[in-house]
Amino acid sequence: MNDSALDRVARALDLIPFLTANPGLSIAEIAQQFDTTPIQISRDLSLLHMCGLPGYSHLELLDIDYQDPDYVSVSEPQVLDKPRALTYLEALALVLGLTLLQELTNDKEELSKIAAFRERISQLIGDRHLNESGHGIDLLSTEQAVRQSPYALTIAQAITRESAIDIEYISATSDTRTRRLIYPRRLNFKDGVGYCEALSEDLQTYRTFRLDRITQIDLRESEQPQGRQGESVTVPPAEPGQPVQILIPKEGFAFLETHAEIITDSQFDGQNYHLFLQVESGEWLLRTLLALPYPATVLAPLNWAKTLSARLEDTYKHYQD
Amino acid sequence: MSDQKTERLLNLTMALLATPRFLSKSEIFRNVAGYSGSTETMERMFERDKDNLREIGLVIEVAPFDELFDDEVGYRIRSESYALNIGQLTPSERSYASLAATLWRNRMLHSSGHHALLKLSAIEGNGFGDDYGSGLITLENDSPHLEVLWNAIENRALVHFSYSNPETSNRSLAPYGLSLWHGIWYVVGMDMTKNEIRVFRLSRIASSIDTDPINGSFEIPEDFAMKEYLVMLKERPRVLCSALIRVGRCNTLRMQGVVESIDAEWDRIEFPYQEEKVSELLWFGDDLILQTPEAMRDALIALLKAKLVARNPSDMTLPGDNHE
Repeated sequence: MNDSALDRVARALDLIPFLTANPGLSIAEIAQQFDTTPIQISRDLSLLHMCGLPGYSHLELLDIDYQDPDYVSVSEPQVLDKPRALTYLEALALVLGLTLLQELTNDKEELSKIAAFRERISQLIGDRHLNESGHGIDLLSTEQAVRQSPYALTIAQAITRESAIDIEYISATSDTRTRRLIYPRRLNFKDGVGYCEALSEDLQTYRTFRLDRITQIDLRESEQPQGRQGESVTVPPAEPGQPVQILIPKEGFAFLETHAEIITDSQFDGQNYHLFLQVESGEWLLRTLLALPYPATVLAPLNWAKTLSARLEDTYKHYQD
Repeated sequence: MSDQKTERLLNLTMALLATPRFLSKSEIFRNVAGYSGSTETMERMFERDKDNLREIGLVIEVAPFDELFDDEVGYRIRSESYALNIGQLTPSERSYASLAATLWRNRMLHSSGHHALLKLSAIEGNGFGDDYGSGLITLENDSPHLEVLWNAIENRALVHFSYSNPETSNRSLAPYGLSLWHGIWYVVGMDMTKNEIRVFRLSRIASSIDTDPINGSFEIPEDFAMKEYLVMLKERPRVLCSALIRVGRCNTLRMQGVVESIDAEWDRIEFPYQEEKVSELLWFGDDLILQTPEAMRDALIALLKAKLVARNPSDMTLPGDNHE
């Protein structure tokens, strides 16, 4: 690691107030927080021993204590007892993050607390112009950065408390409601859609749930699980190793972007995209193709093509007078 | 050498921060550890040191050292500009800060959020709890172009790239702003070829981005409001629809409307819906029969017919396919 002198100055100016407020941390823990190596932190601390205010007697130098060779505290920070002001981008990361959190709850009390805190951070750096060069916060917008998920903060609380939640969930593939007890472990937003990674009730398997398909949620401490309905999956699975192939017209360009992760190969003949997909759920794929605003065809497997065709016919029958 | 410079910069920062009055250069050279050599050498050293400290965001004030004689200037760092003055945070605020700062999964904001959190937790009494920096909520939103574009916005520098939509063309852009919408990054700016403000999706940038070496080559108009160009943020009109839905099915739709029971097989639902998204109602297949508005129902029927024609039922097998 070759940090420049300036990198080390910036880190040292942040290290002293951090250790003053958080005494007794190990060198390894400090290194982790500052995203560097324990050796580098030890070097920084050795250097800081030599720094202080003009006069440089023992009363004017920074005083760093080692309770144990590996545990550090600062007993005399001199004038470096307060952290440096937030930079523009640091404040921005917080303000934008808080804006996002506001979109992740429907609890009015929580909303007003987040809004008030966001305001406090914004005021630190001015309303619109966040620094001297006049870069406004509206040059980076995260409005509707993710799809609304009113239960996200409740789930985050459950993760912190390591408690279970009882959810009512609409299956993403089969349009059925189920109730289940899960132990949430992580919330992740991908392409704007929120997912909760959770351990199943028996703590054996990980499942992923789309937040916008959770219709009810109750925080539990250690309740017995609710009964769970089975999901009806009507599309038979593809033969193992058999590639799924579909045909999408050229106006379906957006499909390629949205589903890039499942596309293993694509060919374009000037009119249509011939796509090879890695798909586990036929039910999901057929419903997705049905809902596209243009015709899309399954080429393989054949039984999926037939199911899609039958569904189109069944749906169309409803509209024949 | 690096240790000496680091030590000198730290000593200089502390001296400028501790002083209640402006310090002259000669006072600095005399009293701050690390300055040695000829006056000329120390002068050069000090000029570089000032620039370096400004690079890390420190505000060094310069003013006449003596009010009566303005030929010598003095220097200091005000603690008000140096320090983060936000006071104590409540337990909820600490939790929000931790969640907000750690949710970014792009290099630019992830590292800034991490530093912000370090600074907040360096305020006495603000030690963070179990969820400190844990990244309980994460947002996957990285783009290789994000940092380049942000720097270009900051420096008011033109950028050049090829853009695929799906036809590929070369674009020159004066970037004005970035927006993250539903997990997708967009850049808004003046398209120099078309001479109008356009919105570009970062994932459709098909080349690396070349940044013009000249900074300050454009101004962002005073009245520029990014929102005006982000059509996706605008509320789309919805019309009231009526449909029959099969009992126990169409569960996501049920959350958006008023449902009444018709018989053992069907319920009726009234729900507001965007007309241009009518195709998405087909996700429910034959569990939903759209009744009104008439125009949407007609559009749905036309789409169904087109899909039925396109499935090509007479040729369901692939060339060389031996199934059935």
